[in-house]
Amino acid sequence: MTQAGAERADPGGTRGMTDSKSRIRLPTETVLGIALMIPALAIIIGLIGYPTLYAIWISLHTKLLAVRDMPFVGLENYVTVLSQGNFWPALGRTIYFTVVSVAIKVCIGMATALVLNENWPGRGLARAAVLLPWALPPLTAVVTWRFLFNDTTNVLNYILIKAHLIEKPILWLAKAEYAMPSAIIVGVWQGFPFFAITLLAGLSPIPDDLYDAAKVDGAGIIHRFLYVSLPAVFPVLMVAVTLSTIWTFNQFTVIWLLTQGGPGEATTTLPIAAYQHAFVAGSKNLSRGAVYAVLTLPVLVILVLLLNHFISSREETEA
Amino acid sequence: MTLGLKWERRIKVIAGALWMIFILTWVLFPTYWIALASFKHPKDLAVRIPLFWTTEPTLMSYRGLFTQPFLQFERLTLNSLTVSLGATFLSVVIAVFAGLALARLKFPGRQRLGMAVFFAYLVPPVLLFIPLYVVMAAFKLIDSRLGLVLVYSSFTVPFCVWMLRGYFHNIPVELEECAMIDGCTRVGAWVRIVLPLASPGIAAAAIFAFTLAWNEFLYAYILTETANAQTMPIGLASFIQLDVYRWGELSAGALLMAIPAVVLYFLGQRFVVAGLTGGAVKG
Repeated sequence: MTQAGAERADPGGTRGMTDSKSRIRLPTETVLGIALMIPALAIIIGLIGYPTLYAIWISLHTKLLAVRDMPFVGLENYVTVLSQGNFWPALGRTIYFTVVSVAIKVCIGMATALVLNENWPGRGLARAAVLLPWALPPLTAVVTWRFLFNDTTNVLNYILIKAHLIEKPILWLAKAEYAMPSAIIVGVWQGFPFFAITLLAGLSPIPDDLYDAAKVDGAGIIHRFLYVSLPAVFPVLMVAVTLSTIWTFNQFTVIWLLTQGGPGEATTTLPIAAYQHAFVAGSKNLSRGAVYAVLTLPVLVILVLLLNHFISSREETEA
Repeated sequence: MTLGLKWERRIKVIAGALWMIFILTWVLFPTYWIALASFKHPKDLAVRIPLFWTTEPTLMSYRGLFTQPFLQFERLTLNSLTVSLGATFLSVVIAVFAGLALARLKFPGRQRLGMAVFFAYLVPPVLLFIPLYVVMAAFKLIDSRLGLVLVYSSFTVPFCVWMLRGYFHNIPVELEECAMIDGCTRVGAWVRIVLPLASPGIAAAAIFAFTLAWNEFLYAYILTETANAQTMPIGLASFIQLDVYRWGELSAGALLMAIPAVVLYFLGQRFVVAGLTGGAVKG
């Protein structure tokens, strides 16, 4: 918030004149700046800002897909959803999916980044291979995993049985208790490279001297990780965790293409529930769907505030 | 730690190697499996003991994909290309303007605008898809490629602005001051000095915008109805929902769709090793 304070105290931007990076200034700088921002602002306001408010507006009315009119009903939709809908179980599943997925992504990503940070032949190729799931379209990732999970093509079960990890085939997507773990597996598969690469970027600038000094002081491998590597990557880790939490909490494509929220409601998270109420279930009630979407807004706001905090504290330590 | 350094080092090397073998298997095997499936003969796809290799690769699945009358795969490809290129072009042009303003001009609210662009990128489609559907329906832009281009710019524009702001910021301002002393106008200096220097960043922004649009699913899923505007992921998703799985064609389609995304991603990745960390993450 210090940035905002500085801007407010300096409305004409005159402080810029004494900047060490002083620019050749035109009196029209503000006009030109705003003019150049107009197209981007139009898109952001028209396609993000306004729709966000409009989502809230729709949630306070009754808007059915096939009906033009939308009568105002106040908080009625919220009362209905919170009291008798599938909101609370869906919220629980969303939190479960998010927390477990992000935790696994962090662990796998960190371990992979630590190994990729060592010097060994072929690590450039390994780094590219690790990025592959992240670069794939979600549709391709899901088709691939549906293929592996499928019981008529039975690859995954075949391998696991041969390796004596399981005794009989698992119905990955057809059984309620396995559907959520399956969705987590696919989400982690696509999402962990983001952590591996950002953490690798955070690890690689740590000078070898620091590790050597820690070794001289008798620090073992675990202590070197805890007291040298971890503090150095911590700011990057926090930014990556917050970003990934936002994306995972709002994951629609992977879950929908994998299970359609089923079997039953086993993988119906909030994004899935919002879509189903708006475009699938009986009356196609856009307002009901909008309530589910709007109710995710507080989580987004908290995460964005956290992210803002992590980014600005990072800038302070770097300045 | 009572272990000697030598032993510790050995354990570290072995653990690291085992971990990398595990990770590479889990990353590469699924990709290998789908690529293999797309070249298998249909009779080898659903067998009791899976075949980990094929001795008689065939293009039958690819042929099937393009001759499927209800799928119109060529049309889907064309739609995907048109929409992704349209969104990319629109957002790169807009982002060059906004990126220059945010990185090079001092005006009130600039810092906060910069952060606002970043946060705009984080607003999830799940919050926006219902209102955007109603708005697009009101403007008769359902099942239209123009409609998709507009909606896609809601995430490609903030992404490109944020990336280019960072890229422009890292180009020394002195270069353009020299040009201005030599008689260039500010805009002239941008066109002659800054934009050419930023071309790797602009290329990378374009590449990533393209892959974001190319991979997009939710908006295309609700905003398109027919082959008039449906994109590849939508057509292939309808394939998944068929009663009888056509694994061969599905694998072929999913793989064909992935090739441009992956190739472009790795191209862009090389451009931006500095750009992304310098701009998009660091701020």
